[in-house]
Amino acid sequence: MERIESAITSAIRHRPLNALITETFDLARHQAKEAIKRGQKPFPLVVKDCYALKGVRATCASKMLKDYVPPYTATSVQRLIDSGGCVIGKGNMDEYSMGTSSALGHFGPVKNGLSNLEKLDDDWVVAGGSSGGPAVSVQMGIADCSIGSDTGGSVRNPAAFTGVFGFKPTYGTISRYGLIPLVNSLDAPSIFAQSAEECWRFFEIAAGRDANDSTSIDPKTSLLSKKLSDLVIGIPKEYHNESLTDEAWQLWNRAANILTRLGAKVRTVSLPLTKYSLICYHVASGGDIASNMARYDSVAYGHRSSNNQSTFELYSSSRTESLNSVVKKRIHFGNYFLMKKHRKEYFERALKVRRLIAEEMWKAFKEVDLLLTPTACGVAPLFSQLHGENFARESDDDFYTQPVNMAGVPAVSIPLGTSPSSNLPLSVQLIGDRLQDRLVLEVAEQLYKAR
Amino acid sequence: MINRFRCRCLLRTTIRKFARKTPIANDKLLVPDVPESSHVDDIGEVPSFDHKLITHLERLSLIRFSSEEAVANLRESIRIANRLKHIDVEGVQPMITVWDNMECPLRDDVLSCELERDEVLENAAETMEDYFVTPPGNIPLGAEKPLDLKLINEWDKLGQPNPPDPRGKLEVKTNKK
Repeated sequence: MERIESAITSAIRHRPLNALITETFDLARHQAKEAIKRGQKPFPLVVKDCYALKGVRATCASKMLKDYVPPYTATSVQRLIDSGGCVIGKGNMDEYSMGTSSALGHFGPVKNGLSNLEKLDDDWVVAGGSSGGPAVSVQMGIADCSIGSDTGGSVRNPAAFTGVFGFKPTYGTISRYGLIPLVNSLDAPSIFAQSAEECWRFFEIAAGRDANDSTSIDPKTSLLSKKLSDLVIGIPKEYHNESLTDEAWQLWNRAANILTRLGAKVRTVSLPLTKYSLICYHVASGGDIASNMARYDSVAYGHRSSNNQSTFELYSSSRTESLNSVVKKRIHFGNYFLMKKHRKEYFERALKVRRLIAEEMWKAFKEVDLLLTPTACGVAPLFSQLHGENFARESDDDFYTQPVNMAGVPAVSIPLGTSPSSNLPLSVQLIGDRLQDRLVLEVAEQLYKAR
Repeated sequence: MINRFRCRCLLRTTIRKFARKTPIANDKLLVPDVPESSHVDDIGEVPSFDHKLITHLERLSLIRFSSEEAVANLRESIRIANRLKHIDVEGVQPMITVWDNMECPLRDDVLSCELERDEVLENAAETMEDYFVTPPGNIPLGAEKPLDLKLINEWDKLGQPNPPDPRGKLEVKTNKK
């Protein structure tokens, strides 16, 4: 119980960081009592606000859903609650999970816990995105576990910026039932925690086939059969691109050194399609987003405009009034790529390129056991810097995380170091083959302990 | 004179971007130390937009373009998307899911009634006697006041980007439950 109360105290103290859209303290206390009755140890949980939790609003940080209360609970969330999870609140995020800053949602920006608290209204350290709120919750002790969603890096990126572990498991291993979808074939419910070991613990609870999600599969949970000295770690050379900062590169190289000291072999590999991955995502995701967002017509749920001239006028006004510019942009270009005369040229081509990118990564795992890369190009920027460059930095950072989603493989961001100049966290990323979730986390744990 | 200065600045920035990295003291060089460019050249043309296309996209999306900048951003997205044309996709099958070679188990065909009618209706802003309601349909979305096509199609030269900024806006209060 004390851990739940201390989490609630942290949530109240850190309200200026805006990590939660809806606080559910009484619910958490109730869930804690129920957990204790079942003989379980309660743990504080924050759930990204794109997951359904029955009776509590799920907004996706959008005006469109600001009053939407789901009548059911997501499978992944329910499994965590059934094992002792107590929901402290719904995590703030980028609107509809579109973005890498958690800055533009309807309920205001999420601010990194390492920001200068005196200037917080004017400027702040970016929390990363799109699962910024869940990340900051673990960072500041509001939760022991947060569940986010990772479609192009949306858990690994904010984990890197806030200095916590962010684990995106193999696609399908955690059910997407109850996760409001962004891109159905890329979305992966993912875990934030303060260690790789805890990531595994919470992953095991949430993972496994779900009758309500036909794309869900069972994970492999068997013990690590290979010793670190039997492992080969690949360094994909294309991940050293012109955006990578000196200190991020140095930490990456340091991580490779630690792994060789622990007995692993390290070698350079090549993934030449890496530079096309974000472009491919841009097109392929656009199509899915245009389709997934079509459900928000104000009729059964969502913001309803007063424009009653006709059905289409109602739909159009409701959507135009309540979705932010990032969401609108993606719907527009998604529909362009899906137009009959463009579909083959853009959308279908992107799906083919996706297969090439996924196969290139899977092929690499025939030669190496794991890949080691940076998670972001450097430390978290200030919001003023991000805004000043018209959010260009978001794409620079997506570069390192996005290809993993194309291949559906597991990856973890490890907060291995700190920038000597800014004192902000720096991370590296370990990537494994499909269903090698356990291997990825066990090696991450050993790497982190030996830092 | 100014052009030469600009060229030198660009050259210096490029040299810095592609400069060799140095390991932390006592670390071996294990990660390639010279960056590789991740730049992809533009390829092909971005078509000029006309009012017909703008209205068509508004109808397909059921979302209005808020400004010329919004349409210019779409043209920019097309420019980026075109870069995929560098890749040879002859004979490649589109990928819909990473598990496309795996058998998916099917559920038993058993009736389940998971939601009560009240639960289904409770989030609707307007209902009438257990029905959802909408205004009359079958009327296509009308065209809005036309945007400035010249500004859209020459945004690179004429446009003033206005990136979204949450600072200074009234914070929407979160609530407790």
